[in-house]
Amino acid sequence: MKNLILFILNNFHRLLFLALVCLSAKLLISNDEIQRSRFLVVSQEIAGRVHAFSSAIGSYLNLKADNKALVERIAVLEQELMQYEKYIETVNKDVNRDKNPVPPSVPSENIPSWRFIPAKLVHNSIACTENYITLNKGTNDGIREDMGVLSAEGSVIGLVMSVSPNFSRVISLLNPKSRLSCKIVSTNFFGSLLWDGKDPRYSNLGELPSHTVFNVGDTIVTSGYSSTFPEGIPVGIVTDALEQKSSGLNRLRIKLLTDFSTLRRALIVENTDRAEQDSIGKEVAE
Amino acid sequence: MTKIFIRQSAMFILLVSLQVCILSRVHIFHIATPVIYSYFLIKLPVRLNRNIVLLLGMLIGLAVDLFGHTFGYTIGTNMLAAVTVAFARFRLAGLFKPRDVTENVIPSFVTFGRSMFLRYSASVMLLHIILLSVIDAGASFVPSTLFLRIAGCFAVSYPIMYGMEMIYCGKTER
Repeated sequence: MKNLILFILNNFHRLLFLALVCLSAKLLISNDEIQRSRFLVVSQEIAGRVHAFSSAIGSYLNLKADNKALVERIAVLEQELMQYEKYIETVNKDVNRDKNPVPPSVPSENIPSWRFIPAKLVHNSIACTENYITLNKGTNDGIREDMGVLSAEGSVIGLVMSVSPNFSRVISLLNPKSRLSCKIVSTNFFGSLLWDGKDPRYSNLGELPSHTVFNVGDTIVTSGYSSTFPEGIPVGIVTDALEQKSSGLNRLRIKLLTDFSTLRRALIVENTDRAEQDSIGKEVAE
Repeated sequence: MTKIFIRQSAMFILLVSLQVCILSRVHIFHIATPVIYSYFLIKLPVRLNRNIVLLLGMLIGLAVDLFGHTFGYTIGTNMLAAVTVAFARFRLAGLFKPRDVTENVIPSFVTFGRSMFLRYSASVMLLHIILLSVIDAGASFVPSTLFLRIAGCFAVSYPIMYGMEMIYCGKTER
């Protein structure tokens, strides 16, 4: 303690200089948009690199679990691939090959306008009131703001909020500022998913009309009404109905399918038709 | 002591007023703006407590930012530059101070000698202008424009500072 006090006294002018520089920088960043955005990009890049380094050490120790999950996922995808191949075989048998030969591939109109970019989490939080995730992909990898993010298992994680050259910051579903348009898969009633800040395993689906039909155990999926996520991406399971508000809107308690505490890898969703969708939306709004 | 305090206070007010009211509106070839309030830091006694120098640097930078806010200064820009110059001032004064000067003198043509004072004041002013230009450049960092701006600002500011020092030395001799 005595040494600490001596250190502070001997270097007081240096500490004062650092404090004044921090204060000046804070004032500068708070009062200038350009400086603030430059600072955010640089700080995000630095924080991302630090988290990437510590995450690299952690992920090496978890390779066994990652490999097991990847093998299981490959098995599921192989299964789906076999089903598609079987379907194409069936279609080919039914068509007159001499007149309308069907190429042994998926027809061009069925090529999805969605692209999935794999990424790795370098930082995650679930215990804060507002939680964010950092991924190791940025503008250099084609990532842009407002892209959706899924887990490796295919359930929703969040939305890209800001991007630097090598990293991107994602606003998690575990963030009260995050809203996701979802629907009940069996009845198609749709509402807005909003986290209440309490349990990271559960969220609330609100803004449902009072006549909403649902059952406990129903699956909640993305509604497809935004250009961020395709329709039908799993989000959670209905566990309970919360009390009806006087506004006439229902709220449902949803158990999230994503286990945010064990997230390691993610898929960033790119909508290749997004520009066209957004421009039509703007025209209609005007 | 009181005389020095009153003189420094008057210089503070004069330099801030001059900078904010007149010089901030001068833009030669849209690049060079005279920046002379670092003269206040140049004229502080060489052995003044470094913490006080830092606080005075903060005050003058903040004053220019606050009063010059309407003329385009972002709050924090001048404060950051002035604090850094105040921190570096001690070393720069030590570099250019004549070895036989041991008292707590105020740097001037008389105490430092003409050439040493010119080098000392030029180095402090140049450092200040470089910091101010780099901070102000922000995202639009173009090296050629930045260099021109630093050179231009220094070229218009230094003669003003030289003139002020001539007036200051004339008054103190009387």
